[in-house]
Amino acid sequence: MSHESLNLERLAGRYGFLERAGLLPLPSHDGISIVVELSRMECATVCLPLLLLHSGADVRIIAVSMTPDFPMEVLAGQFSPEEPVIFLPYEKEEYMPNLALAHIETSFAVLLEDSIMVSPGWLCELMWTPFDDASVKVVAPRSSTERGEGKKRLHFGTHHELAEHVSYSLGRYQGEWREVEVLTGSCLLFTKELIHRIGGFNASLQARYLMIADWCLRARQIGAKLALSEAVYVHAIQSLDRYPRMKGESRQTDGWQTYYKKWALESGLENEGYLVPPTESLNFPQPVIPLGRISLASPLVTAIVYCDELKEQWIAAQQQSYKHIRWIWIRDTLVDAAPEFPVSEHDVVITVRGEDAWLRALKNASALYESEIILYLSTSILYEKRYIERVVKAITQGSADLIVSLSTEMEEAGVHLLAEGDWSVTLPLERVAYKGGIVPGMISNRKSTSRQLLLHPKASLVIGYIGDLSDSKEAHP
Amino acid sequence: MKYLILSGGSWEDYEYKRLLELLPDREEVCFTGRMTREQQTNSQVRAVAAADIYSLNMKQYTILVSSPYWLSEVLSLQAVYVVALLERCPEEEDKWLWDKYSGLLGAKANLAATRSERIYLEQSLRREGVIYLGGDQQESYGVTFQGDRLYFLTDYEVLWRKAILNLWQDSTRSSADWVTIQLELRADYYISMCAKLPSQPVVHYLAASYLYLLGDPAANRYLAQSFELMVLYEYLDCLHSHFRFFSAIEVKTGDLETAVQQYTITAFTAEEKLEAERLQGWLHSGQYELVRAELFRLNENEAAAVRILSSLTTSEAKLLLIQNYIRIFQWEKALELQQELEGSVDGVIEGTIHLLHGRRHEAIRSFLNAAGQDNQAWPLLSEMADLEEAIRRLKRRVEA
Repeated sequence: MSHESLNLERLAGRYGFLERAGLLPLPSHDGISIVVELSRMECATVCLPLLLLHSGADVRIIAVSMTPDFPMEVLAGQFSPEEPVIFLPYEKEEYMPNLALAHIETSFAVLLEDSIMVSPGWLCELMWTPFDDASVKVVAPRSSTERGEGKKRLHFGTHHELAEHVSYSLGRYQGEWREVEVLTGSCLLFTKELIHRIGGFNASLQARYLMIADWCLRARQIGAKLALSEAVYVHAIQSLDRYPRMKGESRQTDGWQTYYKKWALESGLENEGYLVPPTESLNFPQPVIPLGRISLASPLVTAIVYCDELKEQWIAAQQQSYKHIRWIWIRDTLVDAAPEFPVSEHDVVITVRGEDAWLRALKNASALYESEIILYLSTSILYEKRYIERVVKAITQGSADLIVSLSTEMEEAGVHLLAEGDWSVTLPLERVAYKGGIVPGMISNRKSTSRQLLLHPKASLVIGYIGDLSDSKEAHP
Repeated sequence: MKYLILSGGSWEDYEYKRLLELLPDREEVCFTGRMTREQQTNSQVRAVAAADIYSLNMKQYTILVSSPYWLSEVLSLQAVYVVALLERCPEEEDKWLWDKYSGLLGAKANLAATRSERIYLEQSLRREGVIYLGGDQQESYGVTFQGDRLYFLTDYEVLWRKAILNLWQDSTRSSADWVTIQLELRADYYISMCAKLPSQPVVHYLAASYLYLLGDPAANRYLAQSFELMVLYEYLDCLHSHFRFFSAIEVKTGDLETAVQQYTITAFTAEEKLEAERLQGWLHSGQYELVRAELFRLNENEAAAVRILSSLTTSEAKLLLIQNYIRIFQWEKALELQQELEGSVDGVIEGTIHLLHGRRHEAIRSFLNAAGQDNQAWPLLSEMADLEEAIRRLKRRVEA
C-alpha cells in the first residue's frame, strides 16, 4: 500500500470515528432549516423528538400545521422553549410549507412530513452531496414514499431493527448517490437559492407527491440536478386514512389531470414512469409559485401590454393594486425607436420589427406563462388602479370565460347586447380579459388605424361585462 | 385493560406473542399455563394456573382464546369481552369436532380474529366484527411504545388495536370503520394481483369476494372474469361455486328478478329446483325481503340474511331465521325462537348447549330424546366423549 493511500485510509477512519460519535458539524456555516409538515399527531409525537435527537445542534425546525384541527398546542407542550423548534399554526388558504420556506435564513433547507423517522447521521450525509457536485441542488434519501428508483419498502418490527439497518446502510454506502430524473418522497433537502429562484410547491396539484415531482421538474428546468442518496434510508409511517377508498379520490384525479396537462404527459393509468415528462416538455417555461403569504385564491395574471409608442408616463401610472401579475411588453422598434425601455427587470419584453411580427407576438404571448387569467392592455388607455383586481374578481367569482370592461361609448353603442347572443360584435382588445387555457377568438386590426386591435370572440364562450374601468381620461383622447 | 389468555398449548408454542405486546392499554396480561420467571419478566405476562382462573375478577377482563376446547370455561367465566383467535384444525385433532366447536366459539365471541384468510372470509359472511391477522403490506402503518420499546405496526396490527379498543368504547358505535378498511386493503391487494396474474381464476374470485362484501358493483366484473377463466380451463363444476355467486352480487347491487334467474340456472337437484320455485313464488307475491334473505343464505352469506330477517315478523321469516341461526352456530338464539314458534326444540342443539354449560346429565337426556328409540343416541354420546377427551388433552398441554 502506498504512503498516500495509507494516509487517505487513516483520514477516512478518523473522519468515520468523528461522524459516528456525532462530533462533526454540518457542512454549512449557517446550519440548516427543517420544515416539518404536521398532520398526524400520533406520528409527530414519536418522530419529532427523534428528528431533534439525530439532526445535530445546528438545526432550526419550523413545524407547520397542515390541517385546521391538528392539536398544535398539545404537541408544542411536549417541547421545552430552549429547543430549536417553532410552531406555525394552520392558516386557511395558505400552503403552509411555502409560507415557512419564505422565511428560512439558512443556505440549506429540508422539507419532511411528520411521519418520517430519521436516524443518526442522516442529515450530514445528505448535505455533503451538493458539495460533491455543485450542480446538485436537491437530495432525497431512500424511503417507501419515493416512487420509482428511490422506493425502498422495508419491514421492521421494532425501532431496534430499523436502527441496525440504517447503521449498516450508512457504513456500507457512505458517500454514494446518483442523479435521478424526478423525486416524489416525504423528505427532501435543497438549497435556499433554488427555492428563491423557482418558488414554492404548487398546491393546485392536490397530491403531495405530484407537488414534489412538479417542483423537482421546475428545478431541472433551471439546470439543477436531483440526487438520490444510496446511504440514507428514512422510515415512513404510512397512513390508513386513504381508506375508505372513495375519500379524496376525485381530488386525486384532478391533481393528476393538472399534472399531465402541465407537463404534456399522455394521460392514462397512474404509473410511476409517467411522472417524468419528455425532455422537450421541460423546455417550456413554468410559472414561479410565490413563497410566503400570497393567498392561493390570488390567481396568476398575465398582462400583455401593447403600444404604438411607449410612454414612461403610462408605465409610471400603472401601479395596480393587484400584485400577482406577470407583465409582457410587446414592442415594435419600427414604431417605437427609443433605445431604452424603462420597465422592471422582472418583466418580459418582446421586441419585434414590423407589424406582422408584432401581431404574431401579441397572439402567442399568452402562452408564455401558464396563468389563470390573461388580459390585454394598451398604452392608449390609462387604467384605474383597481382595474386588474376587479377583472380578477369578475372572472374568479363569475361564470364568464371572457370579461369585457365597457366604456361609456360602448354601452351607448349597445355592446351589452352581446350578453343576449349577438355574436357578430367585435371587442376592443385592450378591454378584454379571459380565463387561461381557452382560445378567446381571433385578433385582427381595426381597419382605419393599424395599431388598434379587435377580438372576434369564439361563439362558444360565455362573455360577461363590467362597467368602465378606465381612468376616465384616455391617454390619447 | 386486563387480558386473560386461554391458549391451545404452552407459552413456548403460543403464536400470538407479538399481538399480546401490541394490545392497547395493557394493564395486565395473564397467561393460563406454566411460564418460567424469566419468560414472565421478559414478556410482562403473568402465568396463572388453569385451576386459578376463576379467582380473577372477570368484570375487568377480556379473554383471548385460541382453542375451541376452552368454550365451557369461556361460557362460565363470563368475562366482559371474548376475542376468539380462530385457527385451522391442527393435524392431531378431529376436524369435524374442531370445526363445530370453533364455529360455536366464533359465534360466542365479541370479536373473531384469524390468521387464515379462508376462515376470515367464512366468518365475514357469517357475522360482523371479524379481523384478519395477516396482510401483504411491508410498510409500517403506525407506532406504539410498550415500556421503552418502540414497535412499528403493520396494517393489520393497527387494525387489531383499533378492533380491541372498539370493544371497550361505546358499544353502540359501529365497528364499520376498521372492518371496511381491512376489506378494502384485501380488495386492493387482489385487484392488483389480477393485473399481475390475469389468467388465475382464484385471484379474480377473491377480488370479487371482497368487493361483494364491500357492496361494490365491480364485484360482478371480477366474478365474470373468474368464471370465464374456469370455463376456459374446463373446470365445469363451477356453476355452483362461481355462477351462483352472481345471484348474491345481483341481490346486493342490482336487480332481484335477475338474481332469481341466476340462481335458477344453478339449481340441479330436486331440492334446489324446489328452492327456485319458492323464490319465484315470493317474487311474484311481492315478498322481496324473503327473496333477498334466502338468496343470501343460499350463497352462504347468513350475516346478510339475518340482518334482513331479524326485522320481519311473519312465521315464515322466523323459520328462515332459525335455519340461519343454526348455520352460523347462534344456537341459543335458534332454540329460543324455536321454543317461541313451535313449542319444542331440537334435542341435538339443546344437548350441546347443556354440555357446554357443564350440565352433563341434561345433555345426555336431550341427546337420548333426540335420538329416539333406535340407538341413534350412540353417535351423539360418542361425540360427547370425544369432546371431553379433547378438553383433557388441551389441559395437559397447557399445564405441561
